[in-house]
Amino acid sequence: MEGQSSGVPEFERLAAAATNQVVVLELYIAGSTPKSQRAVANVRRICSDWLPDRCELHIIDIFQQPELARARQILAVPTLIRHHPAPKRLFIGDLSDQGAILAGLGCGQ
Amino acid sequence: MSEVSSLQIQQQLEQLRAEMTQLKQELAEANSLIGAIRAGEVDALLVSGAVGDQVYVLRGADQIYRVLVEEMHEGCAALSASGVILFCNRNLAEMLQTPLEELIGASFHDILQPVAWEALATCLLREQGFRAECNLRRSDGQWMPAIVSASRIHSGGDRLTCLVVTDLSAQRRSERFAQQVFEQVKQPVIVCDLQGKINQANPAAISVFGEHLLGCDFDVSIPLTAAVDGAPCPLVELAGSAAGIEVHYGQSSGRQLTLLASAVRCHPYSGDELVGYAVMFADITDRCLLATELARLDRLNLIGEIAAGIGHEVRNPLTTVRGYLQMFSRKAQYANDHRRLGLMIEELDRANSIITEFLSLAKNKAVELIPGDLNRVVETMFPLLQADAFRLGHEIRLELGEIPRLSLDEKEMRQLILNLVRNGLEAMSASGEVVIRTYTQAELLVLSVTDTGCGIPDELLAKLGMPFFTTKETGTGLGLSVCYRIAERHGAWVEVDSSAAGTTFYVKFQLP
Repeated sequence: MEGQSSGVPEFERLAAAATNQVVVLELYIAGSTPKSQRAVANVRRICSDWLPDRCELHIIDIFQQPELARARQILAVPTLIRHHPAPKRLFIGDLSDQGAILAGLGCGQ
Repeated sequence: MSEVSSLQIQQQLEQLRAEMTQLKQELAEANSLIGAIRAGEVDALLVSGAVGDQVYVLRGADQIYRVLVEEMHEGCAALSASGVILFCNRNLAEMLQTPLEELIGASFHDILQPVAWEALATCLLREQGFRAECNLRRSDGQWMPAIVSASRIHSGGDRLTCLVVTDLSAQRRSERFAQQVFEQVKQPVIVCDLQGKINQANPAAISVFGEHLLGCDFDVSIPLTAAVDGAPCPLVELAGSAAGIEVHYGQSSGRQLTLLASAVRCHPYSGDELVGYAVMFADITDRCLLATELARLDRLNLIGEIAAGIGHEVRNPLTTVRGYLQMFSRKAQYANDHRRLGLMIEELDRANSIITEFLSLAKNKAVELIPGDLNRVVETMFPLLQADAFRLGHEIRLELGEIPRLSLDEKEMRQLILNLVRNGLEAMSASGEVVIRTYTQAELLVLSVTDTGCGIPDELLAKLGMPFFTTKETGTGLGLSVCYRIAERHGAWVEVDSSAAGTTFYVKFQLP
């Protein structure tokens, strides 16, 4: 009984912590290409609708900062990387499949 | 031994499972990448090689840049290392009034002015950017002012020059127009920076304030004093007044000007940035003098009308009273009051003379202007004037020049000379001298009366000629007003010049 009573609050604390965690995202784009533009619009919508106040988003233009893309071993853009929470997740394309992105980010609809 | 071996196997198994999970994850990511490329979900690839990182944009992805370059308001071009135009947008073709198909493939040497081309080539050789105002030759041979920006770009091993051209023709036209307005406006305009240094002065300003204005401090070069209190009026004070301030400025020639000055804050670009002041002046010297003169004439007119209306009516009873007093003074029964009666007659005469002077102020008083010799009028009066001068212990002297005959009313002219000379004699305390001169000056005949008195203070000069304004204990304040009126009826005017060494009244007649 005692183990059960201590297990439930611990589970709730962990569950709450999971939903309150800050999500760190990096979106790699190539200037104003059509897919890059769409990817920027889609990721901003996901952040504001599903991760309000707990999303740290960095958008990197590989024309301006190719060294950052190389360090992350980015091959094709647009690419979105979730750095935190672990494990790292990669999403390639214009991020228009919102359901798949949310599932991959662990937000769920 | 077998137990240890079993544990190791167990650990290796766990490690292999973890590696497999990791590999599966990486495989999934690689598949995802390949799938995305195959499905056309990416539009750029980053390739890192020995020459560095290069971004390869897939077909169609650079459309937005093409649109941007074509739609931008500036002219845009890419040049080969030898200066041949490889690409240019439609706007550059329109600026240069050259068909697009003729411009692509042309040499930019032939378009840019030679000096600018050399500067541009030098900058690019040093791998430096270039930005300067240059002239570009249009197809009609005319030069077009423009800002040319250039930078070196490396594309696939080729060295290209990227150019952006901003047409300044409209700006130059507008600047030229503003400059023409600035130079042709009749009012003085001066442009200063925030520290008050004069940057520009239009020809009207130079004619009023002198030539050496540029680069000088406004307050030092143009010392202004407020007309209202004579206090210094610096630039900051002008900038704080929306309606403008009436100021005085003394020209190097000694002429005192009255100006309406206002300073406008200059904000050449939108926003609050203040870069200087434009100070504008209107010369209102003549207007102010005219206003003073009109006020004086108005007052004279009013007095004249009153005088004309009641003068005669008052004079008649005075004549009656004077007659009776004269009669009483001859009678023995009033012998004891003889002195008092004499005093009463004297006072009545004084009242009568005031009325006479009043009547002289009437605007519509009939005068008989006939050609006469002003010198003769002065000479005729000389004994009388000399007697007056001796009585007061002064000298009087005539310096009569050769003057033409003049249309004058002799009686009025005598009155004018008498009043001016008496004023002069009474203005001198110690033994002094009054000089009456006549002479011609340009188109004018001048009668002047100069005394060696102590002069008239500045604050009283403006009030001269105002009826009832006097500094004498027994004066009526009408003598000089009468002179002004007589001068007016002769088409002449009175000017005064006064200093500590004496005062001169000039009566200036227009020669026919």
